[in-house]
Formats: sequence, C-alpha cells, structure tokens
Amino acid sequence: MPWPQSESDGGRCATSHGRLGVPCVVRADRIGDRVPVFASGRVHSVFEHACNIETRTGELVTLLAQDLGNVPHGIRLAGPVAPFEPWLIPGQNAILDKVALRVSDAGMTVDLSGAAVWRGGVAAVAIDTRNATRAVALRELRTTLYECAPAQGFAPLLAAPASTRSSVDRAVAARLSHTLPLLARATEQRDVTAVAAAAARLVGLGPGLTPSGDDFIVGYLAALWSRAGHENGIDAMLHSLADSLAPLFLRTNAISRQMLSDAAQGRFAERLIDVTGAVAGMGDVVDATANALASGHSSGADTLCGLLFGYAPDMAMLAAPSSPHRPPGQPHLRAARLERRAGRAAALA
Amino acid sequence: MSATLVKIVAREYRDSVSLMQLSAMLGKLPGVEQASAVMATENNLALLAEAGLRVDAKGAHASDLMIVVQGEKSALPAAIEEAMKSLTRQTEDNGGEARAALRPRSIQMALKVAGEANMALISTPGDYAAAEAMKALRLGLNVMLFSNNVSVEEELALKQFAREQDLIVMGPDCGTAIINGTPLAFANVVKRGPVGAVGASGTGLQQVTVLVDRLGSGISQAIGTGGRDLYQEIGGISMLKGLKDLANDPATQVIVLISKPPAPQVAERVLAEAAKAGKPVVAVFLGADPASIARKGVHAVKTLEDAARAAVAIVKGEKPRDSYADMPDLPAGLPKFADSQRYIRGLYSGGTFCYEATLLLGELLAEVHSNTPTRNAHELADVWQSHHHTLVDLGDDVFTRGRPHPMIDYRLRTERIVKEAEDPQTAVILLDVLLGYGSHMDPASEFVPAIHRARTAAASQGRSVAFVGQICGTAADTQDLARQSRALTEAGMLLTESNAQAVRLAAAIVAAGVLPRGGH
Amino acid sequence: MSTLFQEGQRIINVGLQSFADSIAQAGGKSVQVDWTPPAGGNRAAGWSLAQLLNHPSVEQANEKAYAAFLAAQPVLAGIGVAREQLPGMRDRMVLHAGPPIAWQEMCGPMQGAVIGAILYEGWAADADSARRFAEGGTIAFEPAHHHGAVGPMAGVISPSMPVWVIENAAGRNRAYANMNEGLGKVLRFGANSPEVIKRLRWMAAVLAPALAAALAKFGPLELKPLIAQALQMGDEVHNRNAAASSLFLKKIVPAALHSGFDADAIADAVTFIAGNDHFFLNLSMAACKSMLDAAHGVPGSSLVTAMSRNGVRFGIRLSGTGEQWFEAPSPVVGGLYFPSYGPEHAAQDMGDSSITETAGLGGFAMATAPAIVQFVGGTPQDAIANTREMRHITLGRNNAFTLPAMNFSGTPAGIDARRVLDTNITPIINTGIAHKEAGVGQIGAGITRAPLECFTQAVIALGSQLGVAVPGVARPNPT
Repeated sequence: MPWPQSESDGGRCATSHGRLGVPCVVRADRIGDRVPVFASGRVHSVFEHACNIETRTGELVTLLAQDLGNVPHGIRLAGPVAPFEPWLIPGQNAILDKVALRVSDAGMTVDLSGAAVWRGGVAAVAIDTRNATRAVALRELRTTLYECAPAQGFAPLLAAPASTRSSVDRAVAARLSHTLPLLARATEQRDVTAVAAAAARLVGLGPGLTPSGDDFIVGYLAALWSRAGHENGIDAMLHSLADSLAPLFLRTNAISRQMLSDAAQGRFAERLIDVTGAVAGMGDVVDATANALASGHSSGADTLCGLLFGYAPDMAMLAAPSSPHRPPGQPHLRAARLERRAGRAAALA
Repeated sequence: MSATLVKIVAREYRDSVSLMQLSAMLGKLPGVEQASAVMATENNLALLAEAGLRVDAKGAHASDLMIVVQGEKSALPAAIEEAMKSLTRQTEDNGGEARAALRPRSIQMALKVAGEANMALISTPGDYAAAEAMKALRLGLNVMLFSNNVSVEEELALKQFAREQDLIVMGPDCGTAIINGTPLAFANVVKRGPVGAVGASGTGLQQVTVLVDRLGSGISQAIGTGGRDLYQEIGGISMLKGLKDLANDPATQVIVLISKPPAPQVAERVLAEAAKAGKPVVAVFLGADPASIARKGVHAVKTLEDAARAAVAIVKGEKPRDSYADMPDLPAGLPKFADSQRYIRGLYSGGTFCYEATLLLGELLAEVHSNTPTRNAHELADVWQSHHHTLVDLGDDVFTRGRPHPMIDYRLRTERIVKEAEDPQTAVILLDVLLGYGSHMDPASEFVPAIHRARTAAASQGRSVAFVGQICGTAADTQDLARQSRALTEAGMLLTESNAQAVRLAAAIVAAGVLPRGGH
Repeated sequence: MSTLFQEGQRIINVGLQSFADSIAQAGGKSVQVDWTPPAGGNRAAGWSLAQLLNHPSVEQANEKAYAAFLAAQPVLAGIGVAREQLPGMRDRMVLHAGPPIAWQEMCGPMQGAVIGAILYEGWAADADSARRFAEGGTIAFEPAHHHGAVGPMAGVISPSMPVWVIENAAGRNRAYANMNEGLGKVLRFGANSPEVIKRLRWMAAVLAPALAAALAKFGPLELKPLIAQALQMGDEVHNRNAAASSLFLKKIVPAALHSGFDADAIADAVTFIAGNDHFFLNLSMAACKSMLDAAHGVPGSSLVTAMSRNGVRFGIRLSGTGEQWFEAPSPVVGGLYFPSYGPEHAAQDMGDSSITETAGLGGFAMATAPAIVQFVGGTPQDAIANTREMRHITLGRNNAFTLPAMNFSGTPAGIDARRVLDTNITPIINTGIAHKEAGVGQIGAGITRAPLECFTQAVIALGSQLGVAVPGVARPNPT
C-alpha cells in the first residue's frame, strides 16, 4: 500500500528538488497580455527583483517581484519575495504553459492559474496646445522630471549646457541636439522614414542596462500611441513604424529589445501608462511622474524625456524650465514625494 | 598624454545602478580622467569615436558590457583590473560581504598565532582587565596591566597566582615599562645598558630612564609594578619579583627602585631583598628620609635625578654622591618682576613630577599648596584656583573626567598657563614636557602659542613672567628632542635637565626676584 | 632567567591598538587581539572563565570526555517501538525536542505535533478533544534527550511510534530516534490531519517492520563510515542528507529484497525512502547523540554534549555538569525564505537536530556543503571560513569525518564552552525554518548561532562546581 500523498506536493519537478531540498511553488497575480501561452527556454538574466527568461523564439518573459509595476511581457508574483539571485541562474531550463512557469533546475514553479491578465495600453489623450489643462500637466511633468532626475542619462544633458562635462557626455549632447530636431520635424510631417532614421541614431545610445536612447524611444512611442486616437495620421504612422523600427531593435541588447518591440506594438510598462493617464487628466501628474522616476536608475527619467518630447516635439519644451531654475537633482518638495514613493530601484534597468 | 583602454565583458547584464556605481568608482581612481561602463551597442561605439576615444571593440555585441577608461596610460590597466574585480565581487557578494580573515579574538587564540610570546599587554576597560590578566597568567604569560579601576582584591589574586607561576604582573595602572629594549605604553626610547629599574610610578620610571640615557648610559629593563604594589594589602609582590629578576639578570649591573614610601613592613621586605641582590641598588622612595632607607648594599637618594646620577656613577665605577642637588646659577636676562609677582605656579601632567616638586619646594619655600600634598605643603583648596605657591597635577581625576589625559590633550594646561600669567601674583610658571610613545606628537606646537599668549597678557599689564621646565625625553624619541628644545627656548622657556633642577631653579628665581633686578 | 627577559618574543596586545602600533614602530613584535568583553560582558562569568582556562581538572576531564567521543562507534542495531525501547518511557508520556517545556508554553508547531501524537495513539478522537486532553495534565511531557532519544523539529515521540535503535559499539550506550516522515504536511511541523496520522500508522505498520526485516538480514550497520562517505559527497548530514540517504538505500535494498519479507511492503518502503532526501537525518542525529552521550558525565569537563531547541528556548548541556540544561531564548533564523514568506512568519529555531553540530557535523562541516551558505548570500569561501571559525571553539578535529575542501582535515569537533565565552564565537548551525503556525511546514532555511547566554551560564555553573571564587569588584567612582 503506497503511503498517502500530501496535497501540497503540487509543483514537484521531475528532476532535483533544487537548492533547498524542497520544491517550492509561488503564485503569480498578474500576467502581461504579451506573454506567450506556450514557450520553452532558459533563464537569461537575474536581478534582485526580476528575472528574464528567453524563449526559443527570442522573446523575453520577465518574472517580477510584487513591488514592481507590471510590464507587457511580465509575470508578476503575489506576496513578498526573496531576492531571485541565489535561486535562479542564467542557463537554467524553463517551461511555460497555461498553468505554470517551471524552472525545474531551481526547483521553482510559478503557479499562473490565479493570475489576472494585465493589458499595458496607454491612455488616449488629445494634446491640444490650446487646452490649458494639458499644458499645465506637461509643465508639471517637465518640472518634476528635471527636479528629481538623477545625474545620469539624457535628462541632465538636455537640461543644462554640457560644456563642463566629459567628452563622452558632450558627444551624447551633440548627438541629441542634432537628432532631436530632425525627429521633431519628422513627427510633425508624419515621415516614417525620417523618424526611423532619427531613431537609428538613438537606439542603444548611452549608459544603462536599457541604454538611454532606448528608454527615450519607448517614451516617445508611448506619447504617440497616446495621441493616436485624437490626431490625424499618427495611427497610420505608428503601424508603418513598427516594421521600420524592428530591424533597428537588433542593435541593442535583448532586454531593451523586448521593451522596444512591445512599445512599437503599443504596449508599455504600468508606471509609464500611469503617467499618460495623469496627463490625460486621470490622476496626479506629480505623483505619477515621481513613481515612474523611481524605476531603474535613469531609465525612468530617460523614458519621461521621450514621453515629453513625444507629446510636444519641440526642443523648447524639452529644455529645463526657466523659472525657478534649479539644476537637475536638487531636493525639493516634489523630490520628497518621490522618496516617499520610491521603493527599491527596479532591476529592470 | 591621454590614452584610452577598453575591456569587453561578454554577455554581461548588470542593472543600471551597478553600472553607474562602477563608472563612478572608476572615475575616481588616480590617473583616470573619465570612465564609462555601457552596453557595447553600435551607437555607443560610434559615440565613443565621436567623443575622441579610440577603442578597438571588434566582435563586440549589444549584449556585451564595455568598460572604457581614459587617462594616464600607466594608470589604465590597474583601473580595468579594479573594474573586473568589482564585477566579480558583485557576483560573489550576492547579498553578502566577503568575510575578512579572522583576527585572534582571545589571548588563547593569539597565542596560537603568535608562536613565541612571553607577555600580554592589557588595556581593556577595568571591569574586564583582571580576568584577561588571569587568563594570560594561566597561559604562562607575564602581564603588563595598563588598565586601572581594578580592585585591590583582584590585584592580590592576580599577583599571588603570578608568584606561584614565577611570572610577574606589572600593574594595575602601570603606564610605563621598557622590556628587552621595547618601550611599552607611555615610555621613551632609551639606549640599552646596564641599569635596571623597578618602579611603582610611570613618570618616575620615565624620568630615571631618560636621565640615565642622557648621562651616556643605558637601561637593561624598566619594570613597572603599578601604584598600589607597595601597599600593605599587596605586600610588594611585583617589586620583589622585579628586584629578584634584575638581580639574576646578567645584563643588569645596577638596580634602581622607585616609589613613594612603601608601607613599613613592605619597605622592610623590599630593602632586605635589595640588600641580598648581589649588586648595587639605588633606592628613591620619594618623600622618605634617605637615612631611614639606606643600608649596606642600598644607596638611598632623595630625588629621581639623584637616583639616575647615582646609578650612572656606580656604572662608571665612581662612588655615588648622596645628593646632586646643586643650586643652579641664575641665568642672565631674567625678567624684571613687579612687586606683586611673588609666586611659582607649577602645572604638571605627570603626577609624580608634581609630587616630587611639592616635596622639594616645600623644603625651600613657605606656603606651598598642591593637590599632591606632602608633609610640608598644604592641600590645595580649590584645584581650579591657585593660591600662593601652587603646584597642580592636571592628571588628577577631577580634571580628566570626560577628557583625555593632559599628556595627550593640552587644552586645560594651555588655558591655565594664560590664566596664571594674567594673575598679578605669578612670577614663575613651572612645567613638565613629556616625550616618548603615548605622549603628544608635538608639545612645542601647543606650548609655544600658549606661552606667547601668556606673555602678551602679562605684558599688557606691565608684567613679565618666567617659564621654567624640563623636557623628559631622549634624542631617539619620535618627537625630535632637539627641535622641541629649540622651539621652547626660543619662546623664552628656561629648560633644565630634570624636574628637580627645574624646581630648584624656579625657587631660586623667585627668591632672587623679591629684589628688583635690572631689566633686559 | 625570567621568561620576561627572553629576547625576540611577541607581545600579545589586548586593548588599545595604538600600543601595538608603537611596539611595531619601536621595532618590537606584537599580536593584536580583536577583543570584546567575553561572556557578553558578564563580569562574574568572565572571572569564572579566566579561572577555568588551563585549569588542570578541566583539562584532564576534557581529555577523557573527548577521547570517549572520538572512540564512539554508533551502529544501527535495529528498529523497535518507543514504549519498549526508550528508557523511562511510560504509557501516557509524550517526548519533545529541546529542553523541558510545559504544554502551555509550547509553540504552535509543537502543540500541533502533540495533538497529532494524541490522535495517533488513540487517546482522543478529534483535534479539539486531543487539545483538551493535552491541557488536562494527564500526559507527561519530557525532553526526548532525557530518554536517550532525539527528533527533528517538534521531535514528538509517543509510545507507539517506531524508533531507530543505535548502539555505541565502543561504549555500549544506546541512542534512539524517530523516523523521518518526508516533506510537506508532516507531524514534525505540527500537521495533524488524517493523512498525517494515516502516514504515521503506515510507517508503524509497514515501513518499520519492512526495515526491521531488512536490517535483520543486513546485520549491524556502522553509521560513522557512511556519514564520512556522505560528507565527501556534499552532505553535511543536517540540512543536506541526499547522499547519505542514497548510500543508506543502497545498503538496505538488497538486504530488504533478500529478507523474504512481504514484497509489496518492501516495494512501498523502498519507494518511500527513495522519495525522501532527508530520510537519513534522523539516523545522523541518533549517531551523533550516541557519540556525545559516550562523552557525557565526566566531572569538570567543559565539553558541550547537547545543543537543542524546543521552539521557545535553546538549551545546552556540558559533560561535567550532569543533567542541567543552560537555556536562553531560541533565535528566529535569518536565512533564505521561500517566496511569499519572511521572518514575520517564522517559528523560533526548533529541534534536536543541532546535535549534529554538537558532534562537529552540520554547520561545522559546512566547508563540504557550500550550497548551504547561499541561504544567506554567501560563497563557498564563506562556507570554508565558517568551518575554520569553529576550529577556535573546539577541542580538536574528528578525523573520522574529513573534509575534502579543507585538505581532508577532520571536522572541528568537541565544543569547549570556555572557548566560546573567551572568543565570543558561538557555534554555527544550519537549520530549516518552520512556519510558526502548526501544520504549514518549512518556509525556508538558514544559518543561525547558538545563544552566548547558554555558555555563560554553563561556565558559571562549572566554575562554582570547581570552587572558583570571584574576588571583589573595584568601584571607586560608580557611574
């Protein structure tokens, strides 16, 4: 007579019991709508609160700790989570199906059965320069961005002259001052080729695990998708752009590529979506901006630069507010709110 | 000439904060002008070229991490190595710090590491010091117990056990020793030689060993016993042991004993032992009448200086004098004192110096007040306020509560110097300056400004004050005796060879100064 | 000549670092001690400690006790029933892990396990009446240690349960342990549902007899060589037992198959054991108890012969101080928690399994099981460093258990309570972490340390046994 099986043995994997000698099952509460239904692959990269799994087809599915916002290709875990790093190692095999994500080499199973699907589409907003509310919202976005942005990435270069910076920073600033006006004009004229050409100058550019240029492009696309419902020609441009941009995305790393690819399809991270919602009048702009700045190191700021630019492609709009002038990163009331809101910097980039 | 070096790390994914920290760390390295840690994308490669950084990154992919440093050519390989170390450390450090090698946590552990050890020097808080000393003794080590706040009972238990094991406990409250030529705690660098010393006073040992060195001889061993060793309760256990060890030490030709007068029975035991030592013993029990101490084999003297001089005389084969207390010639150019200036104000950091000074001054002058009073001097009523001739031990508990000892922190003393100079009754300010390990790194740097301030203050009221003192130090001490001497002399201080001489000189000046003299 | 005047010797500096610096500057040699007040600052304990260091009676006693420990040869002699095997076991008695504790004080998982045992014994029909029965006062609750036994986690052993019987071939003393139920919802984590009880009954009715038959066929099974082999395969036989469990299975299966016992029972028993990577843990614990019991009871000895926790208190015993337990609150373990769990869910450290560390295995052999340190974000170098650190508080090395990662040197074994106090290095323990609610199970694993306070009390007790006096305290300026 076999011994009675325990009900909680669910998730036991075929091979070893992993590091701790016991199998473990965790539950997911959200699954992004871009996560494939079936896939097999390997662990690609592991960070403290996130882990990327690369599928055979080259997509990246991201396992997220609870305190991070959702992303289109993400599976977010319910409940507090130990750091991923001792558990998961790049190269471990992973299998994804409707019910679970299993990383057998780590003895870990993510139970997807209770996870709700999360859709990362932006809020539609009409940017009408005659609309005072929109203008105020954009100004608040800009002010918060420049007051709270870190010293890396595009934000400080756009805010202040780069004369005292390193030669690398000066080169980045030079590129931006050359490329962004081209991008502005191309957007105005709905010129897909020109937009792609400008994007080509930005892809993979700058510091960060997701380079600043990539974050900027994502923000820019978010703004366009946001405007698409209310302004002529943007919708069509975006659809053509998806094809034109795809080859460019190969010029950056896999993590950034997935993010860009989702953006080209109109799917964005939760915190970025919240900012678009706030600009559209559905939330507090300062809070949403502060929240978005809390993710990554300069990723959030670079993305918001792109967003701002996408809403109002205009170097003047992008420049730091003239009054009252504060160099980027100075503490301020808004920064205090940022700190209260910020958890750990997201390891997504 | 600026150069660039690049390192590609394949398939390296690091979160942005780590990359930023890496860049920042590299940028601060010596010789590095700028540093970047970025993904090796096409655009970043192009960017570097635009920035004037020539890098060879053939075969690099967008998934690779590129570390670029620009700066002095010779500094760059080390910078890249630092970067690689940092990356590996980050991998290893996942949540935890690399553990440093374990230092010995106990005397027993240290003994395993040390190999040959014969002594433990213990300076833990007093509450724990006795237990540590006991452990050391149980492990066969001699003990120097620097800590104070050890009880008499603990001291007795330690010394009795040490005696059974034929080991010595130097202390508690033993601030000075020189063993096998190594100065320990507060001690001076002196030449090796045939004079051995055992003392219950730290500064007493310092004075004698320094003088022996300056007189051209040297010290075999200088053993401290702690201030209470010669009390009735302890019975002189450590002094007897030290005496015995020096008697048996072939390198020691003369033994000097230094203390305040022991309890009578203890004194007897010690002196009886000294008489049997088989080599000459010089004893200075400060405050005792030498006649009461002297016996066959023991040459008794009155001052620390006398002890040093007598010992050196014996070494040279001369007959030691009973006293070397020549009254000094007054130097030329003494200040003209005002009528009100009548008194000596002694500001001491060494308690024994203050005590010796009180003894001597009490014989020479009337109305001497001190916080280390003797038979012929009064107890100082208010330590913060001088009255008539006043000698103050600034190392007394009342001054040192909550602040470092005056041998290290001169603030109280320099303030008091100025205050005394402002007092119209002050004629002479008497000081001791201690060099050697444990003492202030540059006493002159503190005294000279204070002396100037004091002079200015006195001068503004039409007075001149004399500064007299001694530097207790040798040419080999790290503070540079010659430079200290020069600086203090230039500031107008009159320096003597010893504390006793300084006291006699001060007394002579005051006695002479009662009559007005020609100014300088 | 006085030893003080021997040239070229080092000076051991305890206290101000500047003194050591000056000695070096002056051309002398010194060793700086990284000193903190020993015994956690307890002066009386510090003085007792100082008197006991290098004390001839203690040194002699330790030599004797340690020799008995090293010479022990634990052998698996067979399987029995608790009621019949355990000395002093009575009909209405329930044993538990750790030092003595009353029902009301017990933590959740232990109470849950007790309830399970009551149901298993048939003393009550359901959980509620079982609880009332436990509260009623008719059950005698005693430490398993007091009856020659050990059990992991709650460590609950009741009269009808099957027990391993280990005999020390060198000393003739016997030790016992319950059998490991496996993972998931099990009695030792406080689960007491019908399936748990069913499993326990199966173990008594099928597993134990099958194993008994196999063992009868195999003959006495020496445990030290098996453990030694397992150590060289990455086990430390506390938190990692996979190799040892496999080696055990390898020995037992042929004997089982040839024993002539019921084939289906054999098949189920073997399948059960094969599915449990921690099956050997209870045997490892009993073997360690056997070795340490052989060293227990030498007057004057400061060798630690037991470390154990009941989920509320951590207790130790010394060879020289008899049956006395020296206790302190049991720590909450810092370690790696399974996702969705954290320290706020954890029970305090629990179980007799720290008997393995007491014998120089488990955390003391961490160098050979580096995967363990990842629980607290460490590296294989940390594992080696941990084992090395334990050398400073043990009497010697047990060369029966050698560690490849440390050049095949023996594990540090024989904890000397004096050295723990003197260095403030406390024994390191690898442990699983239970949920504080009964029946939830394991929620993580980690590394913890035995509380210093236990050793402080132990040394004071040993000191007074040897007549050590504490002289008066100096208090010239009370602060």
